[in-house]
Amino acid sequence: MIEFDRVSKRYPGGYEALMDVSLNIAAGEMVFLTGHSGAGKSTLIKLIAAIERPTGGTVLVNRQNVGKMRRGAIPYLRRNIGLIFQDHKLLFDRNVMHNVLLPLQIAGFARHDAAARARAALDKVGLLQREKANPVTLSGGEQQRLCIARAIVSRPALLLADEPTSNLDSEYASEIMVMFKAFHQAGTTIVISTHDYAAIVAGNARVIRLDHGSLQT
Amino acid sequence: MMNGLTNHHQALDATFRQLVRTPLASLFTLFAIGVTLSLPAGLYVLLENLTQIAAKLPVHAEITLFMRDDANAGDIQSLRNQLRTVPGVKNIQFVSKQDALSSLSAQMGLSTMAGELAANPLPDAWIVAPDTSDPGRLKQLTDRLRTLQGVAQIQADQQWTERLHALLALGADMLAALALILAAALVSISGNTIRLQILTRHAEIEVSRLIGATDGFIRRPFLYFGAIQGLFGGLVAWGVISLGILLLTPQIAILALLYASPFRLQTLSLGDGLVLLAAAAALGWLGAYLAVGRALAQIEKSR
Repeated sequence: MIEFDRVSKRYPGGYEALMDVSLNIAAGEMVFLTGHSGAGKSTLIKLIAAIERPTGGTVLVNRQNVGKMRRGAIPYLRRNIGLIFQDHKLLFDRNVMHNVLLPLQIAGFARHDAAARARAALDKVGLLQREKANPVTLSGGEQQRLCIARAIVSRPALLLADEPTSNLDSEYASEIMVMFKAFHQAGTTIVISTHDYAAIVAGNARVIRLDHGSLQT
Repeated sequence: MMNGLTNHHQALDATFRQLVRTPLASLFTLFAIGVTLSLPAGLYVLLENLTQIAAKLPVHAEITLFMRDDANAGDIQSLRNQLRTVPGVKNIQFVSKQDALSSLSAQMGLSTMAGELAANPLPDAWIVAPDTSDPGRLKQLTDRLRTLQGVAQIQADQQWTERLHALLALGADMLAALALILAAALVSISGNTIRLQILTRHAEIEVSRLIGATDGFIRRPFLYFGAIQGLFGGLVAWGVISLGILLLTPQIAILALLYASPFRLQTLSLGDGLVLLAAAAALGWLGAYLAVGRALAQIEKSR
């Protein structure tokens, strides 16, 4: 599903975030991406979602060269990817329900359909009782679960999670890992960047290790 | 499952909610747009009224035809017949050389002049009243009259109408220039309110882009907002003009009465008003489009 062929990313200013990275992630696989901070985990995830473009090599997602994708096509790529952010990126000017509805509105779902799907997604992360609440009133763990609900509501084939548990205490963190495992068992391809070793051990999945922008084997 | 109308409905909804959420700021902006629009639209109404007055003015233009010295009674009769067939001639009046001389001497108080001159130096003449005051058609008419048999010289007194029409044309040019400048002002007013909105909704735009929103989806609510704000501003302008006309009408009626004229001040017609609203909406939309385009480009760069 995801193929990196000799991918490099150099940011303006000269910082080399990734150097000569080649890797394959099969459809339905769950992969942990690990390494010290600044090792290039976030950059790798951004390259998959076409948030950044590589400065060398090719990034293929579903056999599409996302590094060379034209701007107008990128939104349609992203609708098939669920993005989960370390800082949640929730919108505090609307309630929990409307945060989850946003991807469906963007994709043009009819109102009734969208509401049913959003409730299902909130149910999966255990936030159905809080649908009217403002996200600012949620705890850190709940906010992260809301972010996950928003990522899965359009049932993407690929979930990308950038440090989803790093701001959470271990109890919340393991809860979230259990959710990811459930999605994986439902057939979703999942890439999780983390330096939470407990999670990796519990996850029992393939680990990709980055060190200063290079792949460690 | 796909429903394009839902998006438009949501965008429209968001616009009205935004307007109501900041009522004072919205009112100020609408007022600014309205006043900006009412200047060129008001000038337009003024010009329309002046043009109407100009068209209703009694036609003062007069064309004088002088015949050759050797013209005899036959020539006079033949020219009379020719003049009757020329289109655009409303009235003709023959002034014989004897009449001209006697009226001239009467004017100058020289009752004996006619008797003292060996021969009458004045030619026979025609005074032609055209049925138009339009400079272009007058020019055509004089050119036509000049070619008639027996005509030696033509004097057309049309300076006054030429000046009036030149003034009206100048007014129309000034209106065009003013409209252009204020259209630019309107685009920037609209762009500026949209820019402020974009600042407050920066997070929403960024998140929307990350989860698959097209530029069109992000633009849509702002474009709606710009167009609707412009439309309301246009309504304010329409109101300002109508109110202005209403306030002026009593004085104009008195003035018209003093001049024994049936003139009545015309307000903006329905068609012109709709054009005003459409232009206002279009300019508001354009301002929004430019502002969002800039914001999208900046978000792209800042990443």
